[in-house]
Amino acid sequence: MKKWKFVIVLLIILWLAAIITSNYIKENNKPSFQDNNIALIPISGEITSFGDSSLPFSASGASSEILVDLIKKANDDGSIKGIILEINSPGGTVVASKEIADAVKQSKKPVVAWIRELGASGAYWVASSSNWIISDPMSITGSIGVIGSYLEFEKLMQKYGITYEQLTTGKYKDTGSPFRALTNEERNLLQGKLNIIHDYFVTDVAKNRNLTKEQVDQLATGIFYLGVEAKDLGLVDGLGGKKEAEEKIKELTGLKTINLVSYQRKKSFFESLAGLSAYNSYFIGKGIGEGIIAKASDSKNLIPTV
Amino acid sequence: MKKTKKIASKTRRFFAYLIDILIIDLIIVYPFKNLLKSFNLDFNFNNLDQLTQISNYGLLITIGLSIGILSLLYWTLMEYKLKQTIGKMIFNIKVSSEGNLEFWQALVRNISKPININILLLVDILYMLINKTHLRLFDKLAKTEVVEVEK
Repeated sequence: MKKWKFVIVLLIILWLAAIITSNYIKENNKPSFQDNNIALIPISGEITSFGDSSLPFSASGASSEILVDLIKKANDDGSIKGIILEINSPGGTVVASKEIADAVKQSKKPVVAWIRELGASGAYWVASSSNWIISDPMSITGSIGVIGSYLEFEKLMQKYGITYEQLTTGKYKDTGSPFRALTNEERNLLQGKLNIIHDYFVTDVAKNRNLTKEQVDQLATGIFYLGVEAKDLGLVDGLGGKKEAEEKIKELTGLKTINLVSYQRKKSFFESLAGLSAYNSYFIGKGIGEGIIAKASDSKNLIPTV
Repeated sequence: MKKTKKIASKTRRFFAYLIDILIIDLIIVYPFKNLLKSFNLDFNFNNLDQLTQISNYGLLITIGLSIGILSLLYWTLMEYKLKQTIGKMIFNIKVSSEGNLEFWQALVRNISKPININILLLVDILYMLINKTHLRLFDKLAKTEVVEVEK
């Protein structure tokens, strides 16, 4: 009987201790878990749909798939009241940039874009979809334009007596092949497609920034602007850094204090391992071999980027 | 004549451990699960992504340590006072040592248990599986063994 008395008393004490400890933790973790959390989502490197997946187990750069998911998670998370996008990107592929821009636009919570070193082209497209853009006076931004480029080897091949034979069933099937020069007709055709993308890009930025299409068209020469110039041109709303971005999100969310919560995909064990050892040596080989030759032989290489 | 103690089988010890884990889950872990729920976080493996993504490491470490210390107290105090935990009582086994079981012995023999999956426990169990004496490594360090309760 004495034995069971001890057991019951011990279990009650441990249960009470667990409740008291968990309440203590709850009280002392208030800054992190009160209703004043702001998700800080970094957008770093080239924007692509899946990140740079050329390394096994890796996804470096800014993957639209991951970023869209993070923006959605931040919206679904009840403790998150707003989002700050920390942008350090030169842009990327059209669809990936548009996917992120759309996700930002659909966000039910206020979004502040904070451009650090670089927020150009597709990355600016993303920033323009936010509620407010903060940029450092010396940041590089703007660069609204579309690029479609590839290496062309026809003259090099002629020099070495190499001929290019490709059998196709469609008239334009090998348009953009690096082994022959474009005809004028093909050049006009491709340029037309770039113009369509450019027009879409400009229209969307104009809509996002409450500017007229003509205003943005004049700025959309592909030239980049420093933050201080971009502010005068209406491409960004305010100048500053992290502090100013925090102040703005406080204003937009109506919070007096905020707690920044880092929202980013955690690297898996394999990614960390790949990053530690294989990265540099892998790219030495890859860069020389696959980077030039294999890509050059791929006629679908002409993916426009913004 | 000195009676020979019958060493408890590994199966009995395993099921006794499972019962203790269930009791600890109910008494100690449950309040912490509620704590995570109040933070909109659910402590399960499907949710590991969210738990690890939102910079919750500080919180997780604090919770892990608290659960670990309270669980260790359960095993240590039960065995120090009664030579048995609830699991051991159900399976009629107890901790035995040459003299009276000292507090440090109860503490040392249970030090690998509080976290269900950890390297100490793996080494501990592996040691038991490969040596002939059926002792866990921490049993050996604490100079204890688990025996069947004489009827």
